[in-house]
Amino acid sequence: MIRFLARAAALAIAALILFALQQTTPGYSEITGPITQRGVAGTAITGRGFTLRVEKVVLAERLRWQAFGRSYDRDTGGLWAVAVVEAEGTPATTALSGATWLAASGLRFEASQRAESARGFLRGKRLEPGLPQRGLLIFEIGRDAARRGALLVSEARWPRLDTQLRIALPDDRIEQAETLDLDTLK
Amino acid sequence: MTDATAVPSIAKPPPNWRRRCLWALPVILTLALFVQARKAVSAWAGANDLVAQASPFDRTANLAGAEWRIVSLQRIAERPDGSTIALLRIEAKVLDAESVAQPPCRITLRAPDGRHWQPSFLPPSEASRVIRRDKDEGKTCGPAFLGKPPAGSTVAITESFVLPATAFATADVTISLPASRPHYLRFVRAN
Amino acid sequence: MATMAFAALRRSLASKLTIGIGGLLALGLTTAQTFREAMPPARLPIAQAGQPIDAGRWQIVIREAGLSSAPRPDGYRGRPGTKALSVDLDLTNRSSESSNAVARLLSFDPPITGLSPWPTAYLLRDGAILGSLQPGLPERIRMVWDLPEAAPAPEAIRVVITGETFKPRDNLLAAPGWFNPKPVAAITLLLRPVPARTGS
Repeated sequence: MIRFLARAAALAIAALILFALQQTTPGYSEITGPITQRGVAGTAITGRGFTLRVEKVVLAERLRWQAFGRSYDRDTGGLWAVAVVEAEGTPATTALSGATWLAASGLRFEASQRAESARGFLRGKRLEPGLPQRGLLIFEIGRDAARRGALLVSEARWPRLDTQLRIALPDDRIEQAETLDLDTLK
Repeated sequence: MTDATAVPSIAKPPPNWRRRCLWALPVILTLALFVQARKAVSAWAGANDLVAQASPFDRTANLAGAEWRIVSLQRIAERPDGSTIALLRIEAKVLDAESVAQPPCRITLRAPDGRHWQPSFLPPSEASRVIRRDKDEGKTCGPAFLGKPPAGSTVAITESFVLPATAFATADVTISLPASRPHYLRFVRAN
Repeated sequence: MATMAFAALRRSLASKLTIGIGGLLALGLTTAQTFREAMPPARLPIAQAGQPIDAGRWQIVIREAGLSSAPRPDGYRGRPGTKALSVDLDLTNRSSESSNAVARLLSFDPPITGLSPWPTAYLLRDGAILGSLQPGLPERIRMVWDLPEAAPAPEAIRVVITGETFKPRDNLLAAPGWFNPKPVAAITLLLRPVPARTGS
């Protein structure tokens, strides 16, 4: 009887250990995924291929801008978050394709395509070394995602074994506005 | 007494295979790594510019089946944000049509501190004005070799760059092609 | 002697069972799964316009459907010789990332002859083609299919909504994703002509 119990207990413990090992193994996409580099808004942080400095973030209910001879006016069900950043390619010419707002709750809001035509929109623009460029990264976020968020910026849209800057946004860098005219932000 | 002296001449102890295998392990592992990585390493070397072939600015140099010569590197315009638009004109005399026509070719301006600038995809407005004024075809490296020019012909390439005004004076021109990598040409500025 | 042989047999059986229990469990589980999948499929629940439907990554509220030659929300009049079959719906992204995987959300049962295979989705707030939808923000969109002018105009259409299930780790890259699309609901809509969009 004891031997049977001991055998059953050994089986159960082995199963438990294997289960714990399986559940805590990081997946392939985590191991080969983005290499996070942390920073805070206000300082210039250098990744592998680019340097980024977040100046401020403006939250607004409506955005307005002029482009290609017509004016755009966009409202939203959540909030617009416009990040004013300065970026530079180091050491070679590059472009930023990955820009995501990481909310404190874990939701990820990618840079909005609705505001792509704005003149300062930085995603996809060429960044030359030695010429820091000031631009805007525009997100459409939920109302409760505005505080304690972070910006995830990378060269590739889904970086694989490449730098992803994770820049925390403290409350003193966040401004509020009712309607934001993007042409006045530069 | 005689037994004691006779014992040492018996055959040596049998070889300790476990110890031999353990010593051989680092050697074998390194060899296996080398064999596995050979293809990956050669692919990586073939994609990167590693070995420079320096050449003075005003002379021709051979690379990947063509003779390269810099016609001109001019500063076209200065923008108020501190950047310069540079126009680079190169002539290539084709010696080996096959190897030269493989895309993609990489022409960059390289500063001594390692920063390098790639040519702009579409020439900035200042550059296209100059290209039109000089009646230049304005073909960049890829389109210039598209038709597979035959051996003996000369191909004209025009590339435009945006770089800081302070870096223009010391920037070298580098050219590299898939057929020649990891070797690349570096035309060094005389000053 | 018989009892000794019997005891030896019992011991060897016990040890075989201990070693092979993993394989036996797997066999039992796959057999049970095969039986479950062989059972006849459950009927699709019928939904109403205005009722929230849970379709995996999206929460959908179907509003209305229409068939007309009016221009699309961005002003595009459509290829000559076609009219537009449109379905208006409210979409909320229930996943944790921005997404625009809406192409396979709606399908027609029975299929309508001549219909273009993939719809174009328009964001009605902007009057422009839909980019991505952000998590948690509901938006009203219009999905438009092309139908040739000469094709017979159905009175009512039966739309089948396809949903996917979330897997925190998939089988290939151990990355989270939405997989295994299958129909979750069906809804019958009456077609009415869509009013032309005024302004820009």
